[in-house]
Amino acid sequence: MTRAITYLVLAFILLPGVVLILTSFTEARFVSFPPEGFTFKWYVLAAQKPEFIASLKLSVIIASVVAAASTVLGTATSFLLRSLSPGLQAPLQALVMSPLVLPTVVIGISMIQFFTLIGLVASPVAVVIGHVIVTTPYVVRLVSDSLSALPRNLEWAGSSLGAPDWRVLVLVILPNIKVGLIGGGLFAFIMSFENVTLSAFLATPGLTTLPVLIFGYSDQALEPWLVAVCSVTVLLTTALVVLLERTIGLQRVFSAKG
Amino acid sequence: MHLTLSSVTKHYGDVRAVNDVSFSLTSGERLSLLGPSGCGKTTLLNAIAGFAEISSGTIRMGDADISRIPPFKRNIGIVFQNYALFPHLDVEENLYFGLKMRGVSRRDARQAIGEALEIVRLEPFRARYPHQLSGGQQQRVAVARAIVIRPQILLLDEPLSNLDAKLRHEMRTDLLRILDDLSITTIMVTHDQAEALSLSHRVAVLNQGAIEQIDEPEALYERPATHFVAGFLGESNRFAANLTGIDGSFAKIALPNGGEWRGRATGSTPDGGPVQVFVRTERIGIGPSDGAGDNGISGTVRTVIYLGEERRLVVDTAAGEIVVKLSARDRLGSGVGDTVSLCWSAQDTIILPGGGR
Repeated sequence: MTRAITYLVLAFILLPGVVLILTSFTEARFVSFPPEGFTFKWYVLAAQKPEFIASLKLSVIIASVVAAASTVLGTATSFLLRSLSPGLQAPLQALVMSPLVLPTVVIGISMIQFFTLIGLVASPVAVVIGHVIVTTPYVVRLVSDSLSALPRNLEWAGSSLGAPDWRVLVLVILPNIKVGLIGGGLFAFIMSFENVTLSAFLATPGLTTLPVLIFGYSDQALEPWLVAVCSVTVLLTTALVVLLERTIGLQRVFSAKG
Repeated sequence: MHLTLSSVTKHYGDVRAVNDVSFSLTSGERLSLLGPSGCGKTTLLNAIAGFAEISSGTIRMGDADISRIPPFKRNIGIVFQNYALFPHLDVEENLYFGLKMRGVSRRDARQAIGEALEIVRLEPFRARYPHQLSGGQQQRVAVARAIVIRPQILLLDEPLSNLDAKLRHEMRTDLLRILDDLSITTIMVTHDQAEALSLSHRVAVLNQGAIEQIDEPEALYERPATHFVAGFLGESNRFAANLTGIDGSFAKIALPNGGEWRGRATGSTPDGGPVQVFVRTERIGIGPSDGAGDNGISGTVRTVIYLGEERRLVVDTAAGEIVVKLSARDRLGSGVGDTVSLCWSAQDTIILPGGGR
């Protein structure tokens, strides 16, 4: 019985993606399910659309920069949090995690206001900063998790053997929190790559990320080439999630442990 | 390398974790810091290693004051209680770490690493990772990693406490051999008195951050200087009594119940007044007194506890409850409820000044 429910839930979660990918192979000129025939022509068509290629490129670049920046920031934050006394650690940790509980729309609106105030609106930098704010908490969570599993003695052992602090960091600490670093970076990449809300708020005509492009087209009649674009993003994200699962196991990303 | 601590004190807020500790070790000497948990022995070790900054006093290595030098410049080898081996490095790389920090090339390091592994008898395990080793093997890797850098001082933090009882005995013998081979100035922290007495040349008993007594193992056990040391080392019966006079090397003491015993008089024994008398449980025999210097008392056996290699008797006497530890070789003809006479020599009757209890 529970097994049956599990399969039902899985089907419920997976079906939209499967339907989407299947639909992208249809030969019909309109989106239809079940698909008629089998063709790759919509993928070929999508690849010839300059706005698709441009936005995909932009999304990948932004997501890469965001992943790198939030990994560095998140790791530094984790070190800071760890060095604090327990009384100070809990409130600061909550503050760092707060972008996760605020609605993204709210963050988006407040950022537009803020960026307008400092004259930074409608630049790729604004988009990157916005994404970093919502992806860094994930990095902090993962890296803090790895750090807390690290015995303090390891650092002492390193320094007693003659390593100054920076060598202890590079040779002892970082190799042992590798899992948190890779997981946090990959997760930040995915979160940035699929983000619609913030990108929509902070984007301008010349600065359209892939999810925003898809969102813009979707209130018109849905064309098969757009469905092909969507399946590309689904497959790309799935590939990254599989990579994430292989490196660290997904349950650690979502675990409540700070 | 000499190591000298002068008036070392470490505060944590209002708490004095280490209080005015001074001692000096000669080159190659081994000292144990022994005491109950919370006595400050680990803080003292961390202060010597440089992990805890001392509040006042000085620590000297040879002629150099190292009190304010960061740990990575101290050239002190440390074996941590949980070993703290680098989990991402194999045994050879764990040993190479310290040499690499000293700018030794990998090729030149090979011989030093080989020698260190030979001392701890782990050559076949070079390529293993820490999680692939048993607790005893990890402990020996930790020792090898600490000595491969040829430290001037070696610190051991509860070196055997993470091992199970049987392995601990084996490793104690092993560790003694290794330390004898090395003859490095060594300080070890332990709460296990057998470890302290067997592995070191001198033992410092710590209580509430201060040194109660520092002496050679046998002297410490036979001639405790304070109530704490007499009570902490081994197991003693303790009596409050009055010192009534000195007769050569013996002191006469009167018990509240009217009995009279003779105890060992030392230079620090007072002429009279209230004293505490300590008699170790294993120094008491059963049977009639067989020497002029002996003390005795009779009582009723309340409990017999059989422990295999020894038997413990709790005997009710006029001087209070007395615990007797008999070895398996001692014949015991009496059981619970029997009247026995206990005897022990005046030499084993330790007298320390002071009232209390």
